[in-house]
Amino acid sequence: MMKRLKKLVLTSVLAICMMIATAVTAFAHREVKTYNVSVSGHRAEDTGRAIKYHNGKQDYGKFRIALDSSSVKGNITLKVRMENSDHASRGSGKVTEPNTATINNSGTKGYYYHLNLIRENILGGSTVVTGTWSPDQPH
Amino acid sequence: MKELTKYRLFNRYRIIVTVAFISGLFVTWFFASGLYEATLGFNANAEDIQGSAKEVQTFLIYQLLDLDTYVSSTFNYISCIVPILVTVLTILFIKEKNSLFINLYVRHNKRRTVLIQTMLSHSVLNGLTIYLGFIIFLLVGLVINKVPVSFNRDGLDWLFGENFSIRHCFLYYLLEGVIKFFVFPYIYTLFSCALSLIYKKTYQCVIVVLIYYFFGTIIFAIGFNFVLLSPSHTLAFTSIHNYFIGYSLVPLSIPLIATIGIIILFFVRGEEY
Repeated sequence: MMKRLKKLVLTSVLAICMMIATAVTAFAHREVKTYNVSVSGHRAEDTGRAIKYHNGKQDYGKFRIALDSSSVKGNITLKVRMENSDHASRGSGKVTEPNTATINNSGTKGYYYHLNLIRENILGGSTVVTGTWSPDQPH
Repeated sequence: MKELTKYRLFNRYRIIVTVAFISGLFVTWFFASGLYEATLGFNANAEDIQGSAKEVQTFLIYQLLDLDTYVSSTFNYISCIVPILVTVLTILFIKEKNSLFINLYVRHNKRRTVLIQTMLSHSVLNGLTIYLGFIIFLLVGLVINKVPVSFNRDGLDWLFGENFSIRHCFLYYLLEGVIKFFVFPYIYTLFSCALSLIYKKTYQCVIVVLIYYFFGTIIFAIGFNFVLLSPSHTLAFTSIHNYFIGYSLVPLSIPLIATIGIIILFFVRGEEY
């Protein structure tokens, strides 16, 4: 009887542990994408899509972009816009080189989003920019 | 107020240019800031909207209503249109040179002084016209945009402390505007006026300045990646981070030197004017 009870308790504890682990993993998950695109001031460039794990209004739901480097002299500013698959805006802001920006948005978890990058200055020519971005914030 | 000053100030060309400049700023802001997409172009039936579409739309509009987004959305318009408007305003000087100058020469002994004074006076008026247009746009923006600014432009941080543009965005753009909307039009008007001394046709004074501005930008900024000599740099420097604002005046040295050179050459040759 005791043996059976022990087995039952052990199995239950294991099951609970697994459930918590799964929940924590799902909660902490976020997709991080790298980008290496040529941006100019007259046409927005797509960074490639990523899935969103948190709603925009949640604490971890802000989207994050790191602009590591560009191929021009001086630290440029990019206008950033998070868009859904229909290219409708779900939040926008700016990021300067070589910094990171965390921007509010109205994206919904479970959907794919991408960023549109464009230079602030149309007469600055095009430049290759590199960095990372994620539709969610790190924990 | 002198009749001549009245004529220069309230000329229909100047009024048309001012109205065109201001209305262009508002139209650009509406489309370039994303406000059009968040209002008239908003799709309330988008797949990823769960819950209230109105709430999403309000959020998107609210996000755009800060003073920095308001002004920065017009940067491209400013860097393309300001040189055109400034050179168009120079037509007033050319018209005056071809008609009223004869009367002024009768009253004054020194023709050179009359010429230089008129050029300087037109340059100041053109600078004030464009700057006033921008101030009106900025004042309207101060009323419309109530969301606190979160993005810093560090051009004046060395003078007023860290995050100056976040703390006093209106003041930042007002001060920065002196370079973009007064000094730039001032120098380019002088340049265009000086060209009118060597070119017979009015359109040449406009075209040559614009060719210098746009081709110079393509060659220096886009071709050689050397923005410091790019003519458009004076109007576009706000987009560069970690930057000393004084560098934005460097590109103006070329039209200024050219202006002085043309005037000296003109006087040395003793040509009729």
